[in-house]
Order: sequence, then structure tokens, then C-alpha cells
Amino acid sequence: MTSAFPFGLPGPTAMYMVLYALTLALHVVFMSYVLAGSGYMAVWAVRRWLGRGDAGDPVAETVRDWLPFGLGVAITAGVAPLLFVQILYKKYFYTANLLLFNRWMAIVPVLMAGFYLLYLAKAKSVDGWSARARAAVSVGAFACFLFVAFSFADNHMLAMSGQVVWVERYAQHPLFAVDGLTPLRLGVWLCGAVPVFATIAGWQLRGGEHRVTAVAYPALVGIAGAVGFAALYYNSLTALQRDFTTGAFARPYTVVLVVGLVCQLVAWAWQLRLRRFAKSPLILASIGAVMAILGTVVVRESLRLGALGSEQLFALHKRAATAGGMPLFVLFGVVNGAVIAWCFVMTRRGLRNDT
Amino acid sequence: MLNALASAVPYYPVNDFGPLMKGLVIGGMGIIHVFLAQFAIGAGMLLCYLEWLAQSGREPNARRFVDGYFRVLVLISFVAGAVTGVGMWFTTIQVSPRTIGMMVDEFHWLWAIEWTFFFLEVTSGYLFYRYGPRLDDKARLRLLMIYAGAAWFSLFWINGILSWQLTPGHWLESHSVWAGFFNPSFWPSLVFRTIVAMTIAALVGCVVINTMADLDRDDKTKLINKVAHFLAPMAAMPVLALWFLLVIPADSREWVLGGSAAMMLFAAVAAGASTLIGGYSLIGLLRQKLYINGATATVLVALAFGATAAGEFVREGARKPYTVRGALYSNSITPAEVAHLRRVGSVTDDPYPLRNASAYPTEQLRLGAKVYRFQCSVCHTMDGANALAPLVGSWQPDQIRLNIAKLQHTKPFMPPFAGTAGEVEALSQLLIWHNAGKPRTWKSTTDPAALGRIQTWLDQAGVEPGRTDRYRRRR
Repeated sequence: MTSAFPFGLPGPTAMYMVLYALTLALHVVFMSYVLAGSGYMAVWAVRRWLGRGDAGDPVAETVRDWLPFGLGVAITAGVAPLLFVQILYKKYFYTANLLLFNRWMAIVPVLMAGFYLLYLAKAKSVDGWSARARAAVSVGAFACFLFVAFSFADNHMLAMSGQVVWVERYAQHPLFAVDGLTPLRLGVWLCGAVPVFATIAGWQLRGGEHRVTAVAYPALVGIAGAVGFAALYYNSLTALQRDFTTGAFARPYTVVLVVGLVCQLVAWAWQLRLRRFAKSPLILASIGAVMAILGTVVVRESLRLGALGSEQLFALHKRAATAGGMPLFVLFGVVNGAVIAWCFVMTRRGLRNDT
Repeated sequence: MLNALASAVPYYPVNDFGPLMKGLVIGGMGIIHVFLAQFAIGAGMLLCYLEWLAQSGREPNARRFVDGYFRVLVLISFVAGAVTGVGMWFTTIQVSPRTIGMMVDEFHWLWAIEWTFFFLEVTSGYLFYRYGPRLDDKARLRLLMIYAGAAWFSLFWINGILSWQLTPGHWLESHSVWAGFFNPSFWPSLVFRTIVAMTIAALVGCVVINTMADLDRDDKTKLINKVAHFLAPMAAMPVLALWFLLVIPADSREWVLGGSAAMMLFAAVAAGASTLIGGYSLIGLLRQKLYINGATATVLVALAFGATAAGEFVREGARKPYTVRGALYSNSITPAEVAHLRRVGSVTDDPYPLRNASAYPTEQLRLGAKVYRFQCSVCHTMDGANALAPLVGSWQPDQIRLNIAKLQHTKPFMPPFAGTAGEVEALSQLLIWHNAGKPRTWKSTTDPAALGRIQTWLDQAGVEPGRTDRYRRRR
């Protein structure tokens, strides 16, 4: 790990790493929209219940409308990183799954409950419910996604713990145990999700007369929170682990991450000054979000590879790379990507023709 | 070489599912997922057909059905189908991490291809769901066709991976991904599943039509008769079932056709339920063009669910004693590792302790419990589903030792015992102790003669899998 990611890694490991990082970044975009969006909905619904919220909040209305689709895409986008993580860290990922057992399996029904609560929240019939009941629906949905995020953060920490901890955890079989660093990791992801959500919401609301402050202030707070949690997390690492994040392997991406955060800060401050969702600051915020996500993903992997990377692991990647089908994956990736783009174009034209 | 092999046997923490057999857990999740996924695939095709009927003026009410039906489809398949799909991965990891690991190693690029189709399916489906009623005819039909195509292709890819588990074909020699994918049962499975998908969609469609309050009885009958066209391919099911039976391994076929009472019973349930649905559909709906009310349609959907459940049970069961035929036994031990584990012991290198070690009065029983956990617990429980304790309750101690040592000959759908004579004895003692009411004190057996007998039986059994035609002439 003396060269920048992914250089310096054996070819097969580098290939799977890049695919993992890119697909995970794609998943994080939609995951952030769902996690922070459902959080926004929950806060808005509770405020309304307490008599302080704005009934016609355009952000809440838009998010409520799009969250089910966002979750569907987030789950779909999550399939690929879930696939590649099994190739990259098979034994570690599986062992963490098995040790978390009931809690890990609970993700499935919890995710399903969250999904249906999102549909329920946008159902017209729910508008007639009491404010308390509507708040319960929104808070319930957010709680479901928070649980899923927490479970993934905890799984990641447990996977990196190593066999001594695994054996101890298995023997003790605690009903509920959490790695000490899990809350900090969760804090980074949760806060980092807010500016990403704000950017997507900004694009959705662009053109109308909307209150920028509704998402700009949360975005700024989210950036500050993510930096704060990341600093606490960094502080809790060993000197060797810190070297992984600042060494040659991850240093360029740490820089990318920092630049991405700065871009987002500038973009949201600019947005506040303009008092409307304008194209230029939204482009800057989008670039910043992409840079921050990619930077975070690679820095995260540098820590994991630093802890788990070994010749034995690389040999498994080399063996996996002998499996056939990659050219066809690339072909279908391109073709289906083009068809997806065509679907959007066709839908736009179809709507225009109809009107 | 041995050290390399020993380090290649991965040990994972094993969870206890209580009285539930692990196969039931993954089977339950699998059946729900398969039913929902096949419904979504068939529904895509059905919607295309009805949209075309509406646009060509052949069935004016079809468009109302399409816009109403699709919302049901989205709610059920996008939500439950997608999440149970992820759930299948998680459950498989819980039950057999090594099996899913092998599948991912061999077919990850094909799974990645399937992922691109998932994206296409979700995007086209949601665009139609959201904008369908406001789109022009051309865009509507195209979006539906893309949705249906993407959904069917997701079946195409996963079908190759699942059918490979039962009939890996030439993959066993070449390890070529395409030899494994286009395996002997690929085509019959694909065609059969496509017809099942069309059937489920049509039956659910009949239920939905009955909920359309703005249609009168005649309109509903006309629409039902159109939807029933999707039930016509059921006539080919017997031929496809025979084709499938012909291409699966001979021993698997024998389990289904009488070798295993449970398998035969489930095959009969699947065939019986399919016959009932097919008979009603072909004679009542297609030939006599009858109306079907919501209650009857719901019963037929339930029958289809039963047939799917029984069929999936048969498909899973027919693989025994493997999870990947010829490559990995049900207990996640490869055929090549059996001889090695016979020498060094199956749990010698297992780092995970027993969670309830103090419950066992002797070290030998603790060893037996670890052997049970590693080799037996994936398919058996002690007292719950597929329980061992009642199975051996009437056996004499030597009978237990013999049957375990010669496991693959006792029952050819069991894998060979992959451990030492001492481990056979420890497992036997565990079963005897358990059936004796788990007394607090228990005497360890150290009789060298007994161990010698076990070793002889292990040697006689060999390390090869069992065969149903071992002592009988092939028919």
C-alpha cells in the first residue's frame, strides 16, 4: 500500500476494489437520500404534531412523494456492493453476519416495514389521520432506516475485529452488543447523508420559489457533524490505522474528501446568499457530494485493507477473477445503462406528446 | 499439502435455530421470494399483453386494469420482492456461508449482469407507475415491454445459477462459467418457471379484476377470458416436468419418484395442485369461457402458492447430499476434504467454543456436540424438525455407531461422515446421553475395541458419496 488506491494492489484485488468503491458510492447517494430524507420527514411531521411545522412544506411534500422510489433504487444499487464485498472480504463479512445473527436478519422485516411506511406516508388517506398518527408513521420509517444503517455500521466494525474477538463474541452470545466505534461511524454516515439529500432535494425543487433554508441549514449542520464524528473516529484509531488514512494509499482521496466538503460548504453558503435553488451552486454541491462520497469510501477501505489485507486474501481475489462473464457484464452494463437513459427520454417525450 | 488443505476448511460460527431446521428457514424465505418474483415476471408480460389489447381496441377495459393492476404489482413486488431477495442472501449466509461463497466465486459476473437488469426493471417499472396514466400509447407500451423484458432476464440469469446447484454438468470438469450456467436442467427450468410466472400473474389478475367495482359482470368475464390466455401454456407443464426429471441425476430422480417418502409427497402435492389449477383454467376458463369470482380465484392463487412451495422443496431436496452437486456437501464439506478430516478430525481446528459447554458432563460429549454442530446441525435438530434424537431412539449403541460411520450407505442422500472414529463415538454418545434424559453424570467410553470397530466401518464405507445402485442392478 505504498501507491495511491488502486495502484499497488494486485490486479484482481484492484479491479474488485474499484468496482466495489464505485457501486458503493452509487448506493450511498440513494441511501443518503432515503436516510436523511426520512429523517427530514420525521422532524417535519413531529413539528407539525407539536403545532410548529409548516403544512405546505415543499421539501417535505417532494420527499414524501419520491422516497419509496429512492428506497427501491437504494436497495437495488446496494446489491452490487453486497456482491463485491463477498468477493473481497468473504470470511470477514460472513462471520460478522453470523455473529450478529438475529439482529442482522432483522434487517429484512425492518426494511420491509420501513418501505411500506413510506408508501403509507404518501397515501392520500393518511392526510385525514391525526397529526400524531402521521408523525408516528414518519418517525417509524426513519427509525427503520436508522436501524439498517446502524446494523451495517456495526457489521463493518465486527468484520474488522478479528478471530479473537469473534470467538469471544460467539461464546458470550450477548443479546445486544455494539462495538464502541459503531456510533461514531454511524454519526459520520448519518451526518454526511444530509448534504447529499439536500443536494438532490435542491435539484428536485429548482425553479420554484422555495425556502432554501429548509435544506441549506441542515446541510451545513450535517457537514459540520460529519467532520466532528470523523475527527472523533480518527482520534480513536491507533497510530498504525491513522497512517493508513494519511499514507500514500489513501492520501489523495483524503484530499478529495476534504475538497469535496469544502465545495459543499461553499455551495450551501452561496445558496443561502442567493435565497433560491440556483443551478451553479447546485452543480458545485453535486460535485462536492460526489467527491466527498468517493473520498470517504476509499479512506474507509484503506482502513479495512490495512487491517485485513494479506497475500492469502489477494490469492482468493486472484482465484475469483478467473471466473468468466466479465466482458458480458461490461456489455450489459453499457446497454442497460443506455436503455435506462432512453426510458427517461421516452417518458419525457411521452408526457409532452400527451399534453 | 495437508496443512494447506486444513487451512482451506473454513470454520464459521454456527447459530442454533432452536426447533426449526435451517432448511425450513431458508425454504420459507425462498418460497415467498420465488413466488413474489415469479409473480412480478409474469405480471410484466401480462401487462404488456393487456396494454396491447387496449391500444389495438380488442379489449377497451384492459387499460383500466393495467393502471390499477400495476399499483398492486409495484407495492408487492418492488417492496417485498426486492427486500426478500436481499433476505435470501442473508439467510443463505446464515445457513451455509460456504455455499453462497462458492456461488458468488463462480458466478459473480452473472449476478452483476442480473443487477443491471434489476436497475432497468426498477427504473422502467417506476416510471410507468408514476407517469403511466399521463403517457402516450407508444411510451406506455415500450416502458412495459422494457419492464417485462428486464424482469424476465433477471429470471434467466438466476435460473442458470440455481439449476447449476443440482446439475452442474460439465462445470465439474472444466469449471467454465458457461458450462455451469447452461447446465442440463437450465432450459427445462427456465421454460417451466416462465410458465409458472405467467400462471401466477393470470390468477392474481383474476382476483384484481373482481375488485374492479366499476365493471359489470360481462365486462369482468371478457377481461378474465383475456387474462386466462396466460394460463394456456400450463398444458405444457407435464412435458416440461418430464424433461426436468430426465435431465436430473438418476439418484435425485429416484428420491422424487418414491425413494424418499417426503420428496414424493411434496412432488405429488405440486403435481396435484398444478393439475387442479390447469384443469380449471384450461377447461373452465379457456374452453368454456366461464366467469371466475374473487373467492375462487384467491383459492387458485393459494393453490399456486402451495404448488410453488412444494416444487421448491422438491428442487432443494433433490440435491441431497449436496448443496452443489459433486462439489459441496450439505454440511459445507467438499468431497476432497472428507479423507483429510477423517484423519485430523472435523472439529480439531474449529476455533468456536460451545455456547453451552457446561451443559455437557464430559469432554467426550462436548466433542460430540461440536461434531453435531459442524456436520449435522445444518439439516437436523436434536428434538425439533428432522430430529436426530427420536430417529435413533430405538437403536442399540453399536447400531448408532455403524449408521454414523457408514452414513452415506445408511442413506445415500446423506454425506459421508467426515471425522475420526473418536468423533463418531463422541457423536454416538451425545445421542445416547440426550435420549437418556441428559443426566448430570455420564461415563466416557474409552473401549479401544469399540473404536476399532468404528474405524473398520469408516474404512469400509470409504470417503466416496453413497449410491442407490450400490447393491442392485441398474435399471
